Amino acid sequence: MPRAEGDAADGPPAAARAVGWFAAVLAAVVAVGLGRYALQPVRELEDPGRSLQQLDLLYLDEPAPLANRLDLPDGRRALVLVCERCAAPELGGADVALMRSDDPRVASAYGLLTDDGRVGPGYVLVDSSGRLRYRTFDPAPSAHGEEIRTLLEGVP
Amino acid sequence: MSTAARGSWMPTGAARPTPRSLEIAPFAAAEVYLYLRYAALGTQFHFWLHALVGGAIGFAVLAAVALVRRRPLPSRGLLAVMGWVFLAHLYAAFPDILFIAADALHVPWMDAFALHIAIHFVPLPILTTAVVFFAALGAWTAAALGRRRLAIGALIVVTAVAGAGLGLRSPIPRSLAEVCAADPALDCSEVAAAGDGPTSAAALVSVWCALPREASA
Repeated sequence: MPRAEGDAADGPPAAARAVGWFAAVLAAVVAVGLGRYALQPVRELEDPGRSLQQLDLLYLDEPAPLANRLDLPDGRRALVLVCERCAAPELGGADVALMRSDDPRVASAYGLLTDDGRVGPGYVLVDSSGRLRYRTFDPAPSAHGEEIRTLLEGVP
Repeated sequence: MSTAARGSWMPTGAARPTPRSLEIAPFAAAEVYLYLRYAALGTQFHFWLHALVGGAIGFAVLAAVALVRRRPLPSRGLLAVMGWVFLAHLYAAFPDILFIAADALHVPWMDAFALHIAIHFVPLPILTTAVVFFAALGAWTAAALGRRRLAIGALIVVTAVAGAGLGLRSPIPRSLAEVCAADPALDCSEVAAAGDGPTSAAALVSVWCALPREASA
């Protein structure tokens, strides 16, 4: 009686080899992927602690610091880019005041100044009542307009 | 006595344990697609974090099931293993999928999905979850090869490292003062100057330690 395809190769030794190969290849792919991630130059522009890097959770609710210095508008949401050189994201006509600061004092007040003097890059979201709702490091805010628009939808 | 009855290789009536490359392709393509969606947002950190957590859950559960049922491989072999692990990844990453596909912001209850928020706050999150993932993969591999003691040992490592990481995790910060207290690599001199006051446990400890000095001054 002819054997079905794979029967001969799929006895216990073949199955053991298959499991071994599967685990080894998966472990190698994950290890190489993690290694590449660890060596990405862009990581140097991320949050030093990583935990809050683009968390996409509105975890803050306190008066925005240095509101007068930033000239935050009354009754209007504000997106404040905190960076030395970064382009503005495309906000799709959202009603939001777009501001920018490369002042280390502002960066420090928003937790976006590293101990080696790097200002951001990152941004903060302030709601229409002047309360800070979100702050994150972001190496390229201009490339993440979709993400920022989604966050703004949750900021009154 | 069949090999299945002894808890060895093939379950009774099993399909081929080695999937064809065409059967693997959808899972590989789906993982690549997910990675590219994360990369478009510059959030590879999140991809790896939740992929490692999901993979660890998938392999740990499969290892435990294999040990309990004494059936090293599911009835559909490695294809089923890949399917279950992929589903575990989707489970762990579900809040991100909601964010990308439905513009749903993260909220604390999303910890129901494999501690999606809290896992960010374990010490050295990628390293910790990578250790848990590789231990879980080792546990499943050992279980699938019939090495029960090795599998149990690896599952103990999974539980211990995951438990320690979660036990030592920081709470989600609720103020800039807490953000700064949790990250010594930030220069937050202006946060302190703003006078929000200490709210983190570390800041409270520092104030408590300073009190006797002030009292004796």
